[in-house]
Amino acid sequence: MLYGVTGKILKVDLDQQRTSVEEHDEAFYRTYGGGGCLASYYLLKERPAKIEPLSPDNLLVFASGPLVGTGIPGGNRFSVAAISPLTGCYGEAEAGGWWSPELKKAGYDAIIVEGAAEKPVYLWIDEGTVRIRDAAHLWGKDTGETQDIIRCELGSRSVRVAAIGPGGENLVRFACVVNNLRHTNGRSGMGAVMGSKNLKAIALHGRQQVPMKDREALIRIRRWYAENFMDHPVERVLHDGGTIGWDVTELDEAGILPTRNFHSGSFEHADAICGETFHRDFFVEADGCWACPVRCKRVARSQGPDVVDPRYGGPEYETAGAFGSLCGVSNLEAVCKAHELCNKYTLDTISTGSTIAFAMECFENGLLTHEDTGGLELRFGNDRAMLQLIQQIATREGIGDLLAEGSRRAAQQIGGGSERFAMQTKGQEMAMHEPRGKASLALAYALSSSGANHTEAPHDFLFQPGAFGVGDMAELGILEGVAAQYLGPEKVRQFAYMQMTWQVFNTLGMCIFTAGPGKLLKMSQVAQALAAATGWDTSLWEVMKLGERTITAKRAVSVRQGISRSDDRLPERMFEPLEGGLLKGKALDRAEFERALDLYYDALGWDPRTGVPTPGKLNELGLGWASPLLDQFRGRE
Amino acid sequence: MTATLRPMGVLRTLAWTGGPRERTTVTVQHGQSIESACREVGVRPDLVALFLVNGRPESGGYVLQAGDDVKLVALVGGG
Repeated sequence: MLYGVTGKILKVDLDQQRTSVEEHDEAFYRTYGGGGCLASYYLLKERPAKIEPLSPDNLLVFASGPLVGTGIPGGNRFSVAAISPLTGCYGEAEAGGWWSPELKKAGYDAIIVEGAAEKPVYLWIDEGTVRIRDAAHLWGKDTGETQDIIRCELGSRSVRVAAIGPGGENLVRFACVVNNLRHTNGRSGMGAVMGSKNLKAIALHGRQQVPMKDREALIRIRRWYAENFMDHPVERVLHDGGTIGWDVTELDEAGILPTRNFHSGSFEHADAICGETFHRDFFVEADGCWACPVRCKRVARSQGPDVVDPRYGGPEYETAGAFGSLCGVSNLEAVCKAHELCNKYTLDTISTGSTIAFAMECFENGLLTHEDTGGLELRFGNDRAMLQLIQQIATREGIGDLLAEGSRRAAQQIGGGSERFAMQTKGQEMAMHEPRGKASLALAYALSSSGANHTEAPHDFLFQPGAFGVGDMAELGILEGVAAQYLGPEKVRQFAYMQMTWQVFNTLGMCIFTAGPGKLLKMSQVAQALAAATGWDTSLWEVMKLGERTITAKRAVSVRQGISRSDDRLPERMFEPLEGGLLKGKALDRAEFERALDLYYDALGWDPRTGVPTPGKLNELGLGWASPLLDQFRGRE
Repeated sequence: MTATLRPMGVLRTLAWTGGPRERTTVTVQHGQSIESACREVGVRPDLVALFLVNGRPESGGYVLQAGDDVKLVALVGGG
């Protein structure tokens, strides 16, 4: 008997309009877990190399994990993964909320969607029964309208809906998937893949209790967490202020708040978009995810002039940065409105803000004109133009059609040297964390298989010498802190091990805000929770190996799409001096960066010339079956 | 002699850290470090990622001088 997982993966063939169920044994789940590792397994096993992302050949995977639904705080997440239309390589986005636990209660650990429907459809999964329903009447609707109509026609407000809006339908390359209006699988353009399949939404309902091997042990962990999390400084900060409460002011003082498209690290109007201002002027209430007491999400409301609807929640730090300092905008109400529009239309706030900032810089340098922008004065700080562009991107109107392609492709069309304004790696725009001040982000952005990804590994400041999180690394064998801006060998080692921890959470369906170094739950406790849920005689060692396997499996998918070391790059601006703030003049050292890559590839068992995982490493990780799939790519650099 | 400690961001606004407060003027003992002064006013030095003394980053072991203005910045975020 299986514990902790349902043992069932739903396969949906939209070409044939039929579904089937694939069952797996303990060995499968113990090897691939869920999340990104499970998704990579299917992309490697069932798809050829060089898939066109918006073709029916792409697989779209929705994957929970073995810790989802256990009641462990943070055990509520899922990944949406596919070949990304933004990067052309492995794409993935995680989200929390209630959708993932509902998937398991509905009887499945994951959904694999292949093909494309002739006309818009949505999936309705009710206590294990699957129906493919007509969605023509939903096409063109935003996420709020879509959820309301689906719940009405299914006769229940407790149905959990993950949907796309116009952004996904119009194949905006950074379109996202939104569940329950406030939780987003933001990055990599997974919403566009969903749109390319004419799949409008997936609605879930279930009451099945997934068997747990030792439910009492899980309850004890949950109770212990609830009794202790408010005394933990990081958990307490998240609870009291959300992510918008812990970053804007701090990053600005440290000289690493991304400002005007990463020109500067300090924004003269940081106080206008910071957490304190948000909580004073726009905060309604906190919100959270299934079974988590931290409730780190914020809900915003405003009466205008930019009316902000609290149904769609409120901005995280990333959104405040992307539509605030990055675009030179000091109007926090406009930032909240931008958040609402992105959740309604299903656009990734990071890529949308960054692509708009790219366009602003093009305009200010004469590479875009009023004729190109339809009269929009596309300058840094113009929040009216910013909000107008969000609408145009979602509907691909005017210049929105060009920007909907993402900053890399837009730069290729604009030319004139605009490529240097696109803050992206592998085609995905960088998040609101500055590699020139946090060296681990240089590695995360360059090395992530899905392009610039700030959730690849924990960030630097909590793990400097003397900092709060240093002691938590001891169970991983890291006994000393490493300075935030240092990119030498010790940072590479710290990054590699810490990356494994966050990939563990990715695969188990856990939230990075409740567990891991710097958070309340230790990695060893996560291993204990996994043992209690599944009955596996597991260990921290096996769990960390699962994290390492996840990293290399995702890499293998990207290699088959043509990614190599030459793609593990950073924007040139990162090697140029910051123009303002405490770190004015700071630039990454190119030689040091390349040495760091060399060390990282060696550490993970990837060929340092090509970045391709070696046969020996694949074998050691239990992925030896994938080795022949990469042979044709081993000679490329 | 006295120095001024100014907790920024979450260190200033969150009640559990002893805030809200704009600044705390501390009477500094000869040879007292920033870290020691932080503990006196209820700010955990291991949560402070940046000690900005008169606009310059210093370590937690920096010995305070009369009239020093110190911003305390926590960088607990990321991800």
